[in-house]
Amino acid sequence: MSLSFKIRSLLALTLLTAAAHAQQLSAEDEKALLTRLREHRAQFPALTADFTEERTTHLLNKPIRGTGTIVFHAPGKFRRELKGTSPSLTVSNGTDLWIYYPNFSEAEHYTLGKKQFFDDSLAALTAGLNFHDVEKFFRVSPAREGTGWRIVLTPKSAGVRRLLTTLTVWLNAEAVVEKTDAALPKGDRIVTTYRNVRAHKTVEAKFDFTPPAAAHISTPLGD
Amino acid sequence: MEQPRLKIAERTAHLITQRPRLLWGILFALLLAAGAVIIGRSRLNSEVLDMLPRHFESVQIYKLADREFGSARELIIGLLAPSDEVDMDGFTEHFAASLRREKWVVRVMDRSPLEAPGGLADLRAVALPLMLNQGDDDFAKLLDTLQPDAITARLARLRAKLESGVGLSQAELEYDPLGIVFPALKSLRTTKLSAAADPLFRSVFVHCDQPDLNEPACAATMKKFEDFKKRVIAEWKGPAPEIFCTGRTPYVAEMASKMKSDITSTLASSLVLVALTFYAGFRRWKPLRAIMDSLMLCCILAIACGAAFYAELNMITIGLCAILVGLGVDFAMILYALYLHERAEGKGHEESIAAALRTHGSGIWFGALTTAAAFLCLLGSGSLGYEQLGVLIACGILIAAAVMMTFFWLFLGITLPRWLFKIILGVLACAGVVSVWFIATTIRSWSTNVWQNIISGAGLALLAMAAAHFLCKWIPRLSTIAMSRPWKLLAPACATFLALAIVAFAPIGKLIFDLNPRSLEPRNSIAGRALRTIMQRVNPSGIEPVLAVIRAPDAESLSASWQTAHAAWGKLTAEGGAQSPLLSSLSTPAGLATSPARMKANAAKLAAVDFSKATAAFDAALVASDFTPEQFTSARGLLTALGDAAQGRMNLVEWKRNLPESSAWWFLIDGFLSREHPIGIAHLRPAADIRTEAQAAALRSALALPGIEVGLSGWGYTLAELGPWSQRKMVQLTALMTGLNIVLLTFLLRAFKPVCILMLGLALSVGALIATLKFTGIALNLFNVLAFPLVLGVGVDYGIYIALALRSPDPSRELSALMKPVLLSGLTTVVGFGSLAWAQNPALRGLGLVCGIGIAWCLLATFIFVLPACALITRRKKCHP
Repeated sequence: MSLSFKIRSLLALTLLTAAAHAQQLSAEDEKALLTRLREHRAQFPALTADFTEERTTHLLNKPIRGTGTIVFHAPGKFRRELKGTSPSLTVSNGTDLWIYYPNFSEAEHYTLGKKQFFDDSLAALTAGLNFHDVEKFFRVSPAREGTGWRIVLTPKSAGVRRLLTTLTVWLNAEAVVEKTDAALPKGDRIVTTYRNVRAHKTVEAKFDFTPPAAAHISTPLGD
Repeated sequence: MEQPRLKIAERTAHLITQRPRLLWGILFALLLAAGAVIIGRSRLNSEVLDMLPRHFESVQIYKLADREFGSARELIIGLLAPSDEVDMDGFTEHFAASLRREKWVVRVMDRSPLEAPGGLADLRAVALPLMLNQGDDDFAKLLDTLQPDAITARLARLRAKLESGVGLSQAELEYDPLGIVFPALKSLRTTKLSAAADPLFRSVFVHCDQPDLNEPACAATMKKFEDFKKRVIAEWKGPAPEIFCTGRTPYVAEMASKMKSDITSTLASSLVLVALTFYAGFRRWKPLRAIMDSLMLCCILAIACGAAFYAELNMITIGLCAILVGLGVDFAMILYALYLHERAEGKGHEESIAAALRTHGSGIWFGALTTAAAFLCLLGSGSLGYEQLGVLIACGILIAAAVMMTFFWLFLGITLPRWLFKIILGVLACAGVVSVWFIATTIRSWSTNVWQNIISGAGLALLAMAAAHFLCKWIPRLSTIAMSRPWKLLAPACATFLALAIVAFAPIGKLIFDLNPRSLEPRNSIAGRALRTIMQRVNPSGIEPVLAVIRAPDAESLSASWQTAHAAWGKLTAEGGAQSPLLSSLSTPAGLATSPARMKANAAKLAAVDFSKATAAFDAALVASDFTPEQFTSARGLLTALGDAAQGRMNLVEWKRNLPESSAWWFLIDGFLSREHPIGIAHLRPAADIRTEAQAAALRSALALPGIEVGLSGWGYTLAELGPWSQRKMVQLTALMTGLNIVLLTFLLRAFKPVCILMLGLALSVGALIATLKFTGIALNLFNVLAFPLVLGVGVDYGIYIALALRSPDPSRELSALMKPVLLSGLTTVVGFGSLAWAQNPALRGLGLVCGIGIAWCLLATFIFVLPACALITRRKKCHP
């Protein structure tokens, strides 16, 4: 038995196992799952989690890895803190978005609802956490995987497709997000793994941000 | 005086009857010469701007914009989705990608040039000159940014920001890792154009590979586009948006296509209507055929004259044939009626022709002269199209007078051999069968417009026939009444016309002057509808933009002028701090019109940068931050290009030549700067529409710059200026025509009272025309205001015949022979002009409608006012000789 045959057999076996593992949901089950997700989000609009992110970009030779925490409140508020050697804080209250880089004492301010492409990129970023109106912007294809689900979101409009090719979300048996895998144009990819995910009815987090007095503030997209 | 006229009439009759071969020879020679001139010289152009007075600066600026800026070859395409089920971004990408594969397309822009395919690669060619064109402070910052330490620090910072995952650091690394491109592109903010905010709408700009701006090239481009449109929709899976296309090319192609259809429809309808009217009046086919032959000859000779005078004829001259048919037939009917009268009294063929020519020859020549003079008044319009129409019809009408007094009799004498008659009948039968087949196969596809034309045409034909049939019986009786009891006609006529004159000149109702740019469009214009659909999305305010052009002797002056203009005009906007802003936005080429001197000075400053060290620092920083070097070749190339500029290896004036023709950046550059000359154009949006001459003057004054010549244009602005001008022109030309009529009538009639009566009849007719326009709401526009002098020139003819008949030794006999042909000639003129109402060209349509109504009033005034009034003075003269 040649080595190539062994490799091919192994690959086929892996694919078969994966196929058996991920079972496509019927239309009814799909609808029930999305309803359940929406109800869950309605019941617990807030979510806190720790995350680990691996970002692969065509601009860099090696992927970037980072850890941090995220607080999300449906429909569009979030606070994302990245720790490590290049820390950053990203805060959105649904109308304004701030990115603060403590190492450089620099803050960027974006006003949402003015530049379509920027709003789309934010919607894509939070799509895995927020299943509200998800069918409006994405083609949803959920599948059963183990005790949980794997949902592949494919953007319907070419505008979003320019920013995000597909977004795969893994949910556990309680429909809590475990992992997201965002495939981006030009071969870029962001894989985020969530830990300590907790759903809340309310959350005491600050979604507003006031940059430190010494920070240099810029508005890259204009006022 | 009588003897020479007698001789001429008799000599002509002798020539017609005794030497027909000579006449046939002359005819063939004329036809050969005319054919050679038409084939060799005639060319039609459909330039709508030629319809506007050329001495206006705003008109000249439009022509300049067509010539100098790339937008003349652009298609502006709007994609409008009926619902949000359509993937607009997906379809737009598919549409633009498919367009880029078409051979007739040079470049496409469906998004910002930076995002377009190849946009990043072309960025260097645009950014580099803009960098060198920066002011001292900005360029000093650029020099600092190019220091090796600054490059290293920036890349390290961008790498750190990239790790955060959000923000624009990735975009900065892709487009401007050195941090010198985006600051330079800020200068392009002066060229900001409004974009549609409607998510169901997208716009796509296409620059076509079109050899010239003439009609065949535009038609060929539109044919290719229509073919492409079908294919692109067929290839798309899913719901597709509606596709609209506008721009100069679609407008010219559509106007040319409608022009061709106008030629056939107006000429055919005019011939049919005139023929039906004639037949209803005379019930004879043979003279009708002779008249048709003569009219065709007149048209050919008139077109040959036009082609001989002008190398290129404007589309409006196509109205010539329809008008000429309506006017030319008058002479034939007047002559033929008297000829019949003479024949009925037992005179011979030659003698009857001589009698007809002798009696009406002078009247016809004077009628032709007044009509020709009326049309020559169009020379004062300042519009090349109208001038050509005026000259052609003036020639045509004089030719018609000559043809009807000579060749008409020749054609009348033709008796077809039986075999030829049968062949013609057979051909007509075949044509009938083909027509039936054509109608049967196409009837389902006929548009509402076609049905409207058919119904209104049939209505007008029936009306003309009924009028000819019934009035021919009734009108001749008027002469008896007029001769015996003139006040019976005069009193109600005076009352009616005075009442109408009061309505016309009193502030009752409103005479509408339509100065909407739409009034210049062909009927149901597809390109016009597309333009409005697109503008509703791009410019929801609906305010017409104003174009401002600055011409300079060289690139340096152009740059300085635009810097001054942008700074000064910016103060007229709310953003610029104006208390009551005159402009809501402005978009100028200030950022693109580079200064060669400044670029040269900045290039010299680049010598302070050690580009080998800068490049080395860049390479090292890429490695240190683990960036993929091949993704940064564009930035590296920019460093090399800057190094070349520092060593004087860059063309600082013609930097645009480095940009490939397919680059979407050309849409931006060509939209503002001429490629060949130092000319730039700005797009200004006034705070409110420019509707009046005073508003236009106020804007002109506010935009005036000391030492800089600024030319303004734009449809709204142009029409605001042209509106009052056209009204003044109407008054001037009407006064001129009135004067000419008085002179000609005085010369012809040599009596004060008949001249006064004829002129009063014309004045009352014009009053009735104005009252009709008020009642019916028919709007006057830039084109049909010129109808007034034409009405005066054409309408006076009927009065001339009546006045001359009343001066004859036996007025009753003359009138009895004349009433019917005058009525029929008036009706044929009305239907001749009326047939122009089917034209899709707005100039012809408006002119035809107003002239038709005006001449109908002139005809009525002739019978119920001029006839009894002249009869009254004739009777008094007889009573008190």
